Amino acid sequence: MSGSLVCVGTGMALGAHISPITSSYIAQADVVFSLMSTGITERWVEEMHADVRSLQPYYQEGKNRNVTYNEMVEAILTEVRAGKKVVAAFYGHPGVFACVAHRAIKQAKNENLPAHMEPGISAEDCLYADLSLDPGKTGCINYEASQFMFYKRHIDPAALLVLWQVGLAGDKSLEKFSTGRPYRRVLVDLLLETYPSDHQVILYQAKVLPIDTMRAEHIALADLVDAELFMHTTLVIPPSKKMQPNQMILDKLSAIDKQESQSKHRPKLRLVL
Amino acid sequence: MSKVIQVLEKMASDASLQSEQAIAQLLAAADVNAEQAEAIINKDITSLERQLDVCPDVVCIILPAEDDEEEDEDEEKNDDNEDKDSTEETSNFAIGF
Repeated sequence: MSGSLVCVGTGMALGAHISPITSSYIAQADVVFSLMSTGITERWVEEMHADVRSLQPYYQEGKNRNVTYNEMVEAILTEVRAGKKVVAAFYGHPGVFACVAHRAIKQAKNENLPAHMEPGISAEDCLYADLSLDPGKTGCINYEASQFMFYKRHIDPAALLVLWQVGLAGDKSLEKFSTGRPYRRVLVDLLLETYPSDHQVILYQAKVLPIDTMRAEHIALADLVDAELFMHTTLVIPPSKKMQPNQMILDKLSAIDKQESQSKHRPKLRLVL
Repeated sequence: MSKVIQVLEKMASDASLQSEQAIAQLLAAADVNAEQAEAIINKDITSLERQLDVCPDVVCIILPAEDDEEEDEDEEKNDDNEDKDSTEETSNFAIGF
């Protein structure tokens, strides 16, 4: 019998976010791989099934994370190839700012093995709730902080900007678990090309355990250089400018409206035979 | 499931357990030891991790998914240009998640 793979998200908060279908897939699996964000959530998943294997041991400071991710994928796929029902459980959403689940599913499909993803409540979902932000109000753009630095991007100061994994900003080696002040200085200088130095930004960390405290620390952009940042800290930059009307497009739309209105009020013609 | 994990799960998923008083009552009725109850009341995660003997240093980095199509295209490009120096492009893959 063919093995199968389901990549599930357990949500950010232990016990609060896991969906019924994710619980059911875990309960009915032959093997469960887990990648959680804390030791206690890892224990929580371990206690859901008799054979839960943590993917944590693949991480090593100084080891290129692409190698780590590929090793994780290979460990998962080895069990699927052996004909087992495999579940890979990730904290948050398995496919948002996460490459292991995507790579594993792609590889399984390349080998004609059934594989799919079940969503989970992501850090981004928690961010909107905790900070009372609606991404639809001004628009919102999300970047992984290092990717934002490595490539030329157009920042829209009228939209919300969210930079993930800001504690690792600028790590080109993919071997570090944190980057220091000089790297952050480069990031701040890049942002200062668009935002004023006293622009208030938010350092955000979602609550994972019910005894955790959510972090929503407001600081001036310039103070980011010396701020305390962790692997799971997210930088939220509210808009610094108002949205500017696009008059050219508005005029075009207005002309269409006028044309439609005129055709509606035209006298109705009746065909007389 | 261990009692402490059960308590945390219940605290996280039961709307009636969102006050300190309700949590104190839950802990009084639950089969957890005094040290564990104290850690939960004081929101002392370090103490709880130590008591549960779980690793406190967990890595939570799973970089963004790479653009598979772009990667495939780049791989094909490299195949076509095997004679050319592809070191730079290969190192870019490591950056591109």
